[in-house]
Amino acid sequence: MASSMSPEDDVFDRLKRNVDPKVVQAREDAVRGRVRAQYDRAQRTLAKLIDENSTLPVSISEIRIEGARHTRKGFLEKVVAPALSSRREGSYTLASALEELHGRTNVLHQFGIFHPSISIYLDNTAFSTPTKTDLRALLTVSEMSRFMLKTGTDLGSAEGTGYINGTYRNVFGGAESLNASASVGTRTRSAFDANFQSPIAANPDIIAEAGAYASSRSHKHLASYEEALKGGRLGVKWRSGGDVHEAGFAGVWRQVTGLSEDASVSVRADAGDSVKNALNYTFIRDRRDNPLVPRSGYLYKHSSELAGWAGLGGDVAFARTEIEAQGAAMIPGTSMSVTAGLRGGLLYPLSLGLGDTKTGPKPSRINDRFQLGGPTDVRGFREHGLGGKDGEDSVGGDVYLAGGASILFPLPRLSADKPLRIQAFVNGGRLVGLQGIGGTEAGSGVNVGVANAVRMMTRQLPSIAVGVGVMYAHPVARFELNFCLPIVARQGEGARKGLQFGVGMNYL
Amino acid sequence: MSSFRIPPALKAVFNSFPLLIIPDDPLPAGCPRPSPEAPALYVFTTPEDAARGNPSFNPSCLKWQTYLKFCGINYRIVPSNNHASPSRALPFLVTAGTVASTLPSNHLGKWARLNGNAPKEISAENPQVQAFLSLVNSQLRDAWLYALFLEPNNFYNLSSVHYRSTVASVVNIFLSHQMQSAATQELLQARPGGVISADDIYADAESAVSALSTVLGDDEWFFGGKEPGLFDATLFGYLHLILTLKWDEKEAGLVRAVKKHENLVGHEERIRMKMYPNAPKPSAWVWVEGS
Repeated sequence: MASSMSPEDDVFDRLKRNVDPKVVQAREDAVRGRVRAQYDRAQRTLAKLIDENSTLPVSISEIRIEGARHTRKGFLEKVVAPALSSRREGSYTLASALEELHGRTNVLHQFGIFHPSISIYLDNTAFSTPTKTDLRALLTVSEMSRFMLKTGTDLGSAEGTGYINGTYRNVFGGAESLNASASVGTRTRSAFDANFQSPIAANPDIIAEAGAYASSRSHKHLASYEEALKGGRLGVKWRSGGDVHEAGFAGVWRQVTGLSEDASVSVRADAGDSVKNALNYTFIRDRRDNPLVPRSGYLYKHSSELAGWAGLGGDVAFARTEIEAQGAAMIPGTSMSVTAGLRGGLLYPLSLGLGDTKTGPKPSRINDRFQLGGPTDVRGFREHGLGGKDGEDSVGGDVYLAGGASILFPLPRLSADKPLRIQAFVNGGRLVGLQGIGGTEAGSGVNVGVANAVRMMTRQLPSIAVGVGVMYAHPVARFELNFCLPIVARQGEGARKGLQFGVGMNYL
Repeated sequence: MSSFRIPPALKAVFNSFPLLIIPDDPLPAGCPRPSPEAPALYVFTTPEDAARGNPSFNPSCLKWQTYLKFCGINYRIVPSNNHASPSRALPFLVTAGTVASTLPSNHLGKWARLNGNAPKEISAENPQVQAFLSLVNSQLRDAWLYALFLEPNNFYNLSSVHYRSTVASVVNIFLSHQMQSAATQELLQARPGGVISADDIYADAESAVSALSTVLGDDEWFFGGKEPGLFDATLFGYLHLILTLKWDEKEAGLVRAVKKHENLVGHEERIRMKMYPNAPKPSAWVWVEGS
């Protein structure tokens, strides 16, 4: 025993001796190098094998998923089972089988419940025949943490908020998620929101959603009131061919309250409670290379809301549609880009109720009308500065159209991939209210009102401003500092001559 | 020593923008256009009653609605709610003219005396007037609040209908609870013991009504006035509504108390006939005393 101990002592002694760190480093590098070489060789062998056998007929008889502790078996089955040979027509080659398995793991990734590190391991099964290899696939996944709590602060062009946000992922093991958030801020006095989402039929492209919220917001930057909202929504969101569709129903109780001392009669007329029950649909096709500073591609978006129609109930009834289009292109042979955008909206009052309780179309309320103007839509005018004003209150309008074009070029001696640009723009817009709604003549009043509004918009010049400035695209928002000159303005509109600063995600 | 001065020429160019100024568009149809002549009194009422100039269903609105008539002021009635008011409570008044000002109810008396022919009446500072005013504003008001907001059938048939602000029933249930707890809070304020007893409240109101009847006596108007004044308007705000509302038969203590006093019934009728000829008349129900 003693003799056998001595070499071990030697080993310890040797280890205890101070070793030159360079030597250790070199040794470790050598080991790492050998492992990497082995791995590379294995990869090359695998690639060669796959390459040589890409046309090899195979079948997949078993898919096993490991590491999905909180995810339902039935849910995973719906996602991966279509890859099984027994579930498909036609047969696999090795290449197409691998492609299919990669496709399935990509779907798994899209649910956002697994870390993006799913590995695939293939093995022969006992059912292999000399002419056909039968495979068993093992997918090793690792689930993301189910609870996430986030707090933070946001700063906008005129608003600061602090928030806390909690997410519970994969609630029932089918990639459902529950999200709750609370925030307080300067304009948003308080806001609570709870939202439940679930993919339908284990398809990450179709998501059902249910939510409830309560908020209290100050609108005093545009008109002398605050608004308290309590509402719920139910909806479906789906993606097809790169387009996003959203459809749903929303009910909300609005309370226009907290009026300023000097609130105008227009605001006082709309103070109090109203309930809006509405069906809504939104379509978004975004083919821009970058939504903040697009240099190619286009965006088309429209959203429609049908409130109080037929049996929907509530206190307001109208159809409200908004359309937005934007296109961008590089000027060939230069590093300059041109962006042009157009937005428009119409609020069309409808009759409320059914049968005996039916009442004719009523004029819109201040909290349903459109607002226009400001650094992110019509630059050179104050935020919500366009359209009619009652005293200091921007009352908004029922019909609007706004358009703009910008040319952006890199700063001298700065490369084009820096997020700084000089821009020159011209933009304009027009926001008008419908006239003669809710008068004694029922029904026809709305169409006449809309026709007159459209005539007003086409016969007169819109409010127009031009300017130059600097734009900086931060990953979360686009900052602009522009020198603006209003060319055409209406008397009461908040035309803003000189410097204007803007922060936003969605510019005209 | 100004370090930098904008060249005058550049400043002139800058000042010339906007190059074209176009007159404003008319406001959307939902925005009221204040009348240049008539001030607007915002009260609790229905659009139909507002158009007919009928009395509001809220005593404090009806008081000012009536007093402005006594002062010979020509005004418009606008249906509204507490959220619209600068004092968070109706009524309030928006004066006529291009620079309209908004007056909460505690400024209305002074404004009416300045802008109308205020009736000659005994000073409101008079201790007797003060005493009877506090009878109206505490005993009678408490019974009114109890009868309308805490009696279940009256609340369901009258208040929850009058003060309904939306057609959505879920919201209305919530708002009804809010109204009832606000009324309870009001009643508890005057009752430090925290006990709200219907019998006590109605008994107090009954003796207040008796005292009012006694002080009116055979006079046409209160405190020997030659014409009706602010006190008459204040009491009319309650009497007219107490006499004309469709009370639930089991919860009609207040109307029974008032109907016992013919001179008070006559007081209500005199003002109603003169100021609100289209207003509803007291219901012709006859209660058999002691049954």
